[in-house]
Amino acid sequence: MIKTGLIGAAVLVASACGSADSSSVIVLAASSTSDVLDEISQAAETTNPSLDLELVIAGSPSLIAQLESGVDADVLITADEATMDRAVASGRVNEAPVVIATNSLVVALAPGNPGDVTDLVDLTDPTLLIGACAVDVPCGALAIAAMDAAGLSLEPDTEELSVRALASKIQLGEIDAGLIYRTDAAALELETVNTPSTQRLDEHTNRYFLALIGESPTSQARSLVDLILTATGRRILSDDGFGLP
Amino acid sequence: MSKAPVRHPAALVAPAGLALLLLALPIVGLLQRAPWSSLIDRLTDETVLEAVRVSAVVSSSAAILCLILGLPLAWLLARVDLPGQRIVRAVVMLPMVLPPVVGGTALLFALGRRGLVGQWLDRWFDVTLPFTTAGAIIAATFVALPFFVTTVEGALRQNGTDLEEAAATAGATPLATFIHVTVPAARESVGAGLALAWARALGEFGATITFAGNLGGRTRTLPLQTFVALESDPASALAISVLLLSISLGVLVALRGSWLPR
Amino acid sequence: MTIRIDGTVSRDSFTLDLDVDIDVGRTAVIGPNGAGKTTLLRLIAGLEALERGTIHIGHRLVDDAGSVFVAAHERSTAVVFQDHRLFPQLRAIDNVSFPLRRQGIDRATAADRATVALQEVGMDEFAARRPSQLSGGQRQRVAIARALVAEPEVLLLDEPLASIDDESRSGIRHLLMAAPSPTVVWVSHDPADTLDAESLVSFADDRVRQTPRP
Repeated sequence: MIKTGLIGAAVLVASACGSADSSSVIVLAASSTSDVLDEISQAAETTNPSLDLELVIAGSPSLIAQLESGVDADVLITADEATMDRAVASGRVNEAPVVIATNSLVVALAPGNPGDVTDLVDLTDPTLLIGACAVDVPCGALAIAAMDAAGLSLEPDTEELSVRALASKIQLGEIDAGLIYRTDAAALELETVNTPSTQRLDEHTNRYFLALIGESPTSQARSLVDLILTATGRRILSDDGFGLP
Repeated sequence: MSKAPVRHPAALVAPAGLALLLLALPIVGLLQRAPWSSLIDRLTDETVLEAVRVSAVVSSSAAILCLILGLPLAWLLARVDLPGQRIVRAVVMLPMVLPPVVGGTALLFALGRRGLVGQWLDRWFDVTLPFTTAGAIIAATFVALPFFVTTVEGALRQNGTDLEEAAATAGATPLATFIHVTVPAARESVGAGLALAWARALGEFGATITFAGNLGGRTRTLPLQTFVALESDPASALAISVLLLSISLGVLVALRGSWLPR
Repeated sequence: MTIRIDGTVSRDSFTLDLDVDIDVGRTAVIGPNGAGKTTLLRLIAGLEALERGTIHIGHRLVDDAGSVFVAAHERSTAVVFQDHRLFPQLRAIDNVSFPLRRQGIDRATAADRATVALQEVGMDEFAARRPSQLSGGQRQRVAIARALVAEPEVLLLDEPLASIDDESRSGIRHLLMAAPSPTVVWVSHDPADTLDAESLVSFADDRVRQTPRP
């Protein structure tokens, strides 16, 4: 059975309610891995019926806050290196984290491309409604880095607090274009711009890190990690648009 | 004459105490972690001041909109036999119980660029509400309006129609009666409703982030700034939280002191 | 100005069947509580509407239980209620100015006329007081000034002495007796209030009897 706990700022409530029985594997994971982890969980539970996964999906800062507050967890998946560094600093990660996937940004377009966005430079057009992630969110930091590298300055009309919120608003047509992860664009089947300038976005990637939590990881937790690192997991990640290390 | 001594049953006192604890503890937790020594510095930081300005504009405008639109609505609910009165009242109360994020999403579907009404605003008047200060004001008004309307409606019902009848027989048109008699007679509740609505608008987060987005100087209000800072600068988030907490407490104490029954 | 009411209206427990002519002069409306006296007054004032029938004030049709209903503020009537119903936030003078101001009369003229009206009820020295700063009798005097200030054709009195203490009663009764309105309809459960009325409408046994005084 898959239990998914969706968590915003309500870290306290979540950690109070999220304690499962000891036999299940609790995975704390970044928001952008939500879909792919659902698929991986299904695959894992099919291969190993005794495996009981509990997914706790949250923004990276919430994940760290939960970890620091001592919440029960077996596996942590972060959307960037900085978040994993903070997790390591919290002292609860005992084995070296590994990179399981990469993600990069694309210019995603509102249905029908009402803003007639055809190039990365269009993101600087003040007459268009442009969205980006907030700088404190991994996809926001990545967007700024990528735009800087292209010599452009991003001046969005909104700095969304999660990549999914941004992607939804693009899908609704409320935003003309925005920089979101390739995986989110794929999941929502959004049109993207594909030109030499936007292809250079691929040079800037976020790396997804996985780490086992605690002194003595359970064999169940290890079997999940094995699955993610081997062919089945890599295929699912790749199908969902993630890059592989 | 003194009151007879009453024995308070523990079965009531204990859960009541727990309830109080549940309400008070988070505040204590917040205050205990607040960066008191650097509070002023953090609150006068340029980004925070920018959010203060946006919040001031948004919450005050929302309160004024509540007054302009909410007074007539309260009057309508209290004085006019509407068809489907219960449904109308439920619609008015809905934002009080609706998760604000749902409210924001609904606003997007209604007033967004592709929304039910928003597409015409966009096409005919070139008005786009999402991601603008006006959008933030609408989101705040949406959540604050029920607080104002229910407060004032209650007062209008309690005041009854005696004075309005007197005004009508003294030659006042219904509109003049509303302006010169109904509203002045309910002025304390109008004040209380305004304060509640303003405080609710000030604290609004979910509908704003969903409908109006998040941009410094335009739509990033204090609650949004708190949330953003929680990710990068928790001490600053705590400082803003202390500010918002004291404003909210101030409003409630003022209400208790002068407007609401003690 | 004569008033003619011919119609019905339902009360909580019975239907009130009215066929009443009120002439110029003072008419007393008497009968037990709950018989419909106040309803009659409210129908004339435009605070209630007939379910069937018509009401004429003078030659004007003001209610035909259908398409015609002249609203209270458009009728040439004024009311003194049992409870003064002064506007609490307004000073006495502003309460009395109120009907004039609603007619579009400028503030200064309205204040002058209100002052005169207050003098006539002996309340000019209390012009700046709010209702909460006046006694019951004083409030009713101000309410009478408010009713009379716009010189209504028809003055409707709904138990105007019922809430007044004995001390003030005779003074206020005299004021009402001296009211200059051509038509005065005085609802009272106390026959003493209506001694010199020129005609009488009495409610009894669910029937309305009308007797001109000799």
